[in-house]
Amino acid sequence: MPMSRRGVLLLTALILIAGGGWIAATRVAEPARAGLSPAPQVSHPAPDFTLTTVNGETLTLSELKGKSVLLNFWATWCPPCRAEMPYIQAAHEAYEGAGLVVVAVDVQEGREKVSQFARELGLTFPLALDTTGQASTTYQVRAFPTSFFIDREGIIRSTFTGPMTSPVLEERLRSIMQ
Amino acid sequence: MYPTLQLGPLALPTGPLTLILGFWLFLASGARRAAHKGLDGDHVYNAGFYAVLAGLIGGRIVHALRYWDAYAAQPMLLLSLNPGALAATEAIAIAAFAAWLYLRRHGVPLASLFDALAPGAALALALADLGQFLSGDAFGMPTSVPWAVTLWGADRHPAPLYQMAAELAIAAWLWRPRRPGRNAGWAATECLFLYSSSRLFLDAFRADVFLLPGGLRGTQVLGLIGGLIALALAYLQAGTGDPAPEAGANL
Repeated sequence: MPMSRRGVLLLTALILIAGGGWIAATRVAEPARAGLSPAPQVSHPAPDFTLTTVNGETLTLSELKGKSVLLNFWATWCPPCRAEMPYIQAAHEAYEGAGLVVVAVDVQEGREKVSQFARELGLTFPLALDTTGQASTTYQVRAFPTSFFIDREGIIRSTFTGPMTSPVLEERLRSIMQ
Repeated sequence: MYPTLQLGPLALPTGPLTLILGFWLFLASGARRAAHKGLDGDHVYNAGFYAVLAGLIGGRIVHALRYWDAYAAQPMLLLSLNPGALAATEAIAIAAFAAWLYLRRHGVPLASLFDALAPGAALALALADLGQFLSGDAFGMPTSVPWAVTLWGADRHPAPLYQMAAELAIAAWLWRPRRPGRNAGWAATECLFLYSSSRLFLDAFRADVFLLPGGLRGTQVLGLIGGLIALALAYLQAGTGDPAPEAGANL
C-alpha cells in the first residue's frame, strides 16, 4: 500500500544511513584489488604461457610486460579469423612503434599450414603455435576468433569474441595504448 | 562455467541467449499485464520493436562518428553485422527515447504501462544474471562458504545467483494480486526501489564491478541513488490515505 509522506522520509533517512554505511563497510581494500588471480577476464592479470612461433622462437607472454598486447586466438579453417586478419595486420603496422605487440595464437595446427596462411595474407606479426591447446584452454576460448587486450601492466582491459573490424579494434586498442 | 550451450553443431553463447530470452519475456509479460489494465498490449511489442531498431541504428551511427576515420576508409562497415561495432550506452539511451516517443505519440499512459512492465523487468533481469553466471562474466569475492563456486583461481560467492534470487523474489512480489484503486506508477516505483536496494546490498559480494576512488563499488552507489529516486517518486505519490484512481500520467 502507498506509504505516507512521513513514512517515506523515515525510510529515506534509513536508506541513506544504512546504505551509505554498508557501502563504506564493504569497500574493496587495496590489497584485494592488487591480488587478483590471473584469469581470462577483464581487470585480471593475463594468465602466462610459453609457446613457440612459426619462426622457431620462444614467446612468453609475461616477458611482454611493459608493452601493450593484442592476444588473438585463431585457426586457418576459421573464415571470420581470415576476415579480421587484414585489420589486425594494419593495427600492427600502425601501432608497433607505439609499443603494441600482436600475438596471434594458432590453435592445434601445424607450422607449415600456419606459415602458408601468413604468406598468403602478408602477416608480419608473431604467430605462436598452441599445438597442445593448453593456452586456449587456459584462456577458455570457446569460439574463434577470440581476442584479449592486455595493458602494459599485464592486466586484461578488454576482450572480444568474433571477427573485429577496424573501428572495433580501434576502440579496444585505446584501452591498452594509454 | 558454461559460456556456450552446445546444440549439435551449434555453440550458442549463454550470455546473449539469456538476454534475448529475457527481453522476449519482458515484452510478453508486459503486453499481457497491460491488457489486464485496459491498455492495448500491442503497444508494448511495437515500442519494443522500435526501441531495438532505433538502438541498433543509433548505436552504429554514434560508433561511426566516434571512429570516423575507420568508417570513412571502409563505408561498408556501416552495414556490418558485428554487434561489437555499436556504442552500447548511447544505443540504450536512443532505444529508450524511441520507445518513449512511440508511447507518447499513441497516448499510452506511461505510469500504468510501467506498472504492467515491472514484474517482467525483474524476471528479465534475473535471466540476465543467470546468463552472466553461466558465462563467468560476473563473479563474486573469494570466500570459504560451503556454497562457494570455484572460478578464476579462487572459491567465490556465486554473486550473480544471489542477485537472480533477489530479482525472482521482486518479480513474485510485484506479480501478487493487488487491491484496485492503487496509484498508477506505484508498482514501478516499488520495482525501482527493491531492485536498487538489492544492488546496494548484494553487490558487496561481487568482485567484477567498477570501483570508485577509495575502493567503493560503483554499482552500490548507483543502487543507493536509484533507491533515493524511487523514494522521491514515492513521496510525490504519497497522499493522505485516499488512493488516487489508476488514471496514468504522460511523462
